[in-house]
Amino acid sequence: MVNKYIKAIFLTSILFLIGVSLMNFFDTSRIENVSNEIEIVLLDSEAIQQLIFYESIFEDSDSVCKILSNRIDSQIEKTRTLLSELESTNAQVMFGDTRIPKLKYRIQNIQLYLLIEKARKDCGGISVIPVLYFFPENELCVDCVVQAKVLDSIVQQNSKLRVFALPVGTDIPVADALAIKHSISKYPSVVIEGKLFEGLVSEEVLKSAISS
Amino acid sequence: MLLLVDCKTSVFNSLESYFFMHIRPRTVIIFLLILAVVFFCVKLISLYWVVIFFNVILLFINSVFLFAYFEIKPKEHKLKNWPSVTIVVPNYNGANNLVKCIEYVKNLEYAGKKEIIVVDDGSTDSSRKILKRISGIKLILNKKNKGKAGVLNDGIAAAKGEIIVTIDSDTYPEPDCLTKMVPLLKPGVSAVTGFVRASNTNGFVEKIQEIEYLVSFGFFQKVLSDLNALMVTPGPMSVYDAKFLRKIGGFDEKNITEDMEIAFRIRENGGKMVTCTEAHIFTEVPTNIRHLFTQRVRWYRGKFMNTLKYNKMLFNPKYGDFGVFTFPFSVIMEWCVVLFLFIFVAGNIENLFYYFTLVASFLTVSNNIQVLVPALFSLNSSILFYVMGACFYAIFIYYSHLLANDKLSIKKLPEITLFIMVFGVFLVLVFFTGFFKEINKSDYVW
Repeated sequence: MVNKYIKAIFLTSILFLIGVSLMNFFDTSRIENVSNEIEIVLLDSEAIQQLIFYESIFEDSDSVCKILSNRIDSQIEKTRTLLSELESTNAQVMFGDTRIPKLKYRIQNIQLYLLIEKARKDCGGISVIPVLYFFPENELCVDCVVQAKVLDSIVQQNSKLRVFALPVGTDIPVADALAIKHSISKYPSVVIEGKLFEGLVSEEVLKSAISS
Repeated sequence: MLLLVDCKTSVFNSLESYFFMHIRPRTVIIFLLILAVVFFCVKLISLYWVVIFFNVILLFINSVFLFAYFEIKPKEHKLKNWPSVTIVVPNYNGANNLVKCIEYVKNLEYAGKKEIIVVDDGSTDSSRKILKRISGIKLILNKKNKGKAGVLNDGIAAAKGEIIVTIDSDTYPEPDCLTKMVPLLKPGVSAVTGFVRASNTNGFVEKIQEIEYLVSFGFFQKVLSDLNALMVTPGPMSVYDAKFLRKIGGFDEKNITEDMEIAFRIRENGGKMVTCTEAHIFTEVPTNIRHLFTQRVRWYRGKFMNTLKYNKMLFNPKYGDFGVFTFPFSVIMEWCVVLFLFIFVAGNIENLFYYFTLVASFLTVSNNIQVLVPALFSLNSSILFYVMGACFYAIFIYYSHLLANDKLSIKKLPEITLFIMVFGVFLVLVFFTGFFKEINKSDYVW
């Protein structure tokens, strides 16, 4: 006859193992879901890049511009909730790693920005206004979070805007290049239509910058 | 010195507005110390792992109880000579239920001699008038209010029977209770407890308590009895060996939960307690949350007091399963519950400060508060362990219904769900308040 305490320790250990492995399963599948969504838009933007390549060969800018503006709109639509999904997943999971989906998201983000700039330069008639928001990756910066929230608020009111959050000092070379190009020295910094706003900027100042 | 920090807490006042509390400096220091220790624990390992750790302890306790339940073997009890019995009914301002209670007490079937003593503890309502009209009972009328323990001791002193049965004045035992409980009082056994159940089950608060009583006096008491680990001889109705009760000096008049204290003292003096889940005792339960809260805070403070008084029993193999498992683990669990609240607060202090600075800063640059609400709410997967604990409780509720011969109908689903999900939160608040009042040495309230 086995003692009830030993039985209980046995059962508890089994339950603990089951619990932990189930948690592991749920967390990894949750990360995988977000990761897959990001993968799809990343592939999509890579496919769009082929258009640019096509244009450089055949110089057929009319049809390219038409397709490009449609594709940009659909990309913006697809990536709308992706970042908040990724952030909440990152905050909630106890197992698994969100570094890779995060990096993929950032690469896709930069590609989208470059595509928009390319379309604006070559085609014109693109209604999207890109807003660049620079923040330091490895520093605690309360003002940056506030600035991000302010930008969220503006985006809610103006659907033409698309914010590109650019972490400076990480493995995204284009973000660093953009920071040097706009001579960013202070965080947070916001660039709208070539105009640089350093430090925490209020909603009204940003709004007037957009409308002018 | 003690008046250095002399302020009233509005939070607790709102819970018990009639009760004014004074916070002593010691209380504040102890709380801050605990908060600091817990804060560093949460920083070292994550908040969720601490919660999982608590849940795993709870799973262990529950599985021990489950295995112990399966090990119970049925026992038979037969009695040839029925010893004489004295029923002591203490009463204080219980006029509403008194007539019904005495009627039930009189209707108790018993083959031996039966004596009923009603002790009135200086009631200020119509209790005395009612009592004087009832025939066939022995009356003791105290002029001064002594408290329940004192009244019970008066009853014990006047009792002639070999067995003493205490019955609260708001309790209605079923007629066969005595004939079922008394045979268990064999030599070596000093007290027998019964299956206490809620009699008034109209409101929802009562319905949740009905489930709680079913589980704690059904499943848990049955297991505890088999392990010889009963921690309380319930006030509503318990049967004692008169000789033993007199030997250990009766009830403790200074204790706020005299029914728990007597159980500890019986154990200390080598007495054994058993339970009879076939004897159903119905008692009035609090009908609103505030009364329930006050009652539970009193119970918890009584537990706290008795734990300190009988701390030598903690982890003491001399007291068997009680000393090694049930008593220490019940204390650990209660401390975990109090710690849990501390952890919840400590783990969120930093976030809270951060959030307030964020909001304050945000309001200076924008007035669109809507964006501050997180877009996606999601649950952490550590909730799985909570679900496992809930499953154990569902099993306990099922077995308790079997013990009570009650039907487990789908109609009971809301109260069972609420009992499993929400009652724990209520108990967390109770333990926290009780703990707070106990280290603050606040006055006792009934």
